[in-house]
Amino acid sequence: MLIVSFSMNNLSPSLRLSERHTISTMLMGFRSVLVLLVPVILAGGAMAADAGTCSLLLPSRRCCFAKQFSFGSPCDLIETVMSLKLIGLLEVLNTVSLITKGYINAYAGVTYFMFQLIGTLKLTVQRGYCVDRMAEGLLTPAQGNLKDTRLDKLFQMFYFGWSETTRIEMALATADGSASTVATGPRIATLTQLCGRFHANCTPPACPHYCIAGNAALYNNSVRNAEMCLLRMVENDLKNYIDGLARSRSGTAVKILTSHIYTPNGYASGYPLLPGKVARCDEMHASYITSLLMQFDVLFALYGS
Amino acid sequence: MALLKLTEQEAAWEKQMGYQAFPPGNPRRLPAWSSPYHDHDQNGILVTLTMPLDFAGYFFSAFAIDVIGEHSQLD
Repeated sequence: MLIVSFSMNNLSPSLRLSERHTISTMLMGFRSVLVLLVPVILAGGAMAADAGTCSLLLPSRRCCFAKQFSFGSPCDLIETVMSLKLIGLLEVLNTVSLITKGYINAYAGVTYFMFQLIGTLKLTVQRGYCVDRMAEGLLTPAQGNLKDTRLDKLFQMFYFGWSETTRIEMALATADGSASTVATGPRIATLTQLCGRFHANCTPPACPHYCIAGNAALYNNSVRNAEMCLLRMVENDLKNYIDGLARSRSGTAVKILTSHIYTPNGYASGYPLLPGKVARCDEMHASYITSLLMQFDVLFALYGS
Repeated sequence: MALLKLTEQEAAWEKQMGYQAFPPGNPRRLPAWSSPYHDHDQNGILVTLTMPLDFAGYFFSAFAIDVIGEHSQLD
């Protein structure tokens, strides 16, 4: 067990990168980490202001976390949590102590599987394995949403603010979530339009299956059909993964509550798991994932290329 | 299965996370972890992992999952 105490100084976002890495490495060396945030944080002017209505000062009110993103591996999440100066003190203590080595492994397992999903989808987009499923009639209008017509009815369109008629051309959110800039345009309805704009004169393998000459008709020339068909395949993989992990009995557990999938062109669906299925990483899996952690930067580079 | 209903605030947060997958906000196209937050009336703190997917330079889709840790599994 490692007990760490943070004060206002070492929570500063001005921590050097090397210092953050040192802290992360140290924390990951222990199975359990209890992080103590000393009261001086709340006494500090800026921190007290950031803490706002939270926790120890007003324990009856919920903490308002800043909406700041951390890009990269689960380890980066820990660094963010540590360096954020948000904070309802008690809440953060709970949060950081939750993200122990075991949880890093669990989160890393989820991350790794998401990469696998994306790899699968890339191949699917390229090769168009799902054309036959287009005949299934996957969605039907229902109560203002589009609903899966298959027996399990897993996915529903619920994504507020995602439009049936508008395409999001560009979106930029501030790191703290306080504002966003969104540029929209008419939704691209036909594959002819989409392929002409984004994949003009493409050749396999750098060409989506639906943009290869003659293939648009297989999707009724519909962007929605193509997106739906391709994403459904991966959604099912994701569901199977979640359900499979939920059946596991050992190791560190995380719950995956909800999945969301969306495209700039208007497809959106979710797999609401509430109150949550338990996804577990067994020890062997966790160890394997840990060994993969160091490779993630390489994976990121590959997928980002 | 009942339709998942989001409050206005939750919907805004969902959109915010969605926007984080667009190239201007995520030029390196890395997975994005949200900071911890409360949502879904869960007795715990969630984080959301968002994964952008580009194909041949085109932003095709984004996947996101909401994850919560379990206290009972810590020891």
